[in-house]
Amino acid sequence: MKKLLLLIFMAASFGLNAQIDAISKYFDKYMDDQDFTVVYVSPKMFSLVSKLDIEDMDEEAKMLLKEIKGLRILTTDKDPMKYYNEAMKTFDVSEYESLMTVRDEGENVNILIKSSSEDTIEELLLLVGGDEFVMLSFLGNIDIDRISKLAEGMDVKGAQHLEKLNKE
Amino acid sequence: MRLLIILLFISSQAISQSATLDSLVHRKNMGSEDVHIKVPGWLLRFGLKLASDDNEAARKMKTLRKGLGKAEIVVLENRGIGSNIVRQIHHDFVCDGYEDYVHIREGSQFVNILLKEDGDMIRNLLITVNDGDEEFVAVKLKTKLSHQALAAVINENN
Repeated sequence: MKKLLLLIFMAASFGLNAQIDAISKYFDKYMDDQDFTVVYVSPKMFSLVSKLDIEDMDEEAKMLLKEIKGLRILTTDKDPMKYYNEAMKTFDVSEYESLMTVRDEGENVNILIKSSSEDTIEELLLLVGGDEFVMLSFLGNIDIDRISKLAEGMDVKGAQHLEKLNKE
Repeated sequence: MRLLIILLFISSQAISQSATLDSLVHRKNMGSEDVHIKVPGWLLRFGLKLASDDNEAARKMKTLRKGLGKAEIVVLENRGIGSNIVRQIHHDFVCDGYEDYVHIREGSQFVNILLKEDGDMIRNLLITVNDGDEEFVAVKLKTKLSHQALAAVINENN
């Protein structure tokens, strides 16, 4: 029984690693492409900022910084639907739980998550296709109620949809 | 024994630098528009102190100024330094204990920040900026910045 549980755990963690690898490979593919805006913030940066005693930062934001293990943003306004469709095909979307899908005036927004428990998100993937392609990926152990905090101050198309999540 | 000490000294110098960056700033390879300067920590702090006398923003950076050490600045113009070379430079620094903190690309500009920490102290900072193949800038700083000092700088400037 123990062996079986161990095998299931290994298979599950291998699946997650493979998917994270797929995301980082996708980002790396466009890292040098001047048509794309690329942002990568490492887990070390989040860890450093979370340790700083910044007066203006509320407790909720500090907790969130401790929970996030990495952020990647990829955007382009050149042929956005092509990249949106490519991303949807590249990632095994079936491995994610769809948290929100919006189709409005030619814009597609997909918020996909992988949860480690009912209240915690291990990975969040936001894909936007319309007049701009946006791909945003968060890794960590993020409390689902704090997700809306992520959207605050984030000037990324589609991020405003994250604000609605904990209210639903 | 003397030879052993010299060899140890040479090897420690070699690993503290990026071999790729070293070769780019080698005298033979430097162009007329290229810049490579090393500024001692005391001179940097003194210069910033002078600037702070009539500059409010610089005055607020007092805590930060105290934590600054030796700086090395490299500006290379039209040397065709592409992303592969920049990646190799980063790899050299990562091998030397630096860690990737932030990468940002917008258009042709690519900014990278790497840090070397020792406990709760930031010991080294490397910022590289390359603009296509046209311009490459690297700023390497020795620092003695604790997390508390960094938070104080942020709080003072908020």
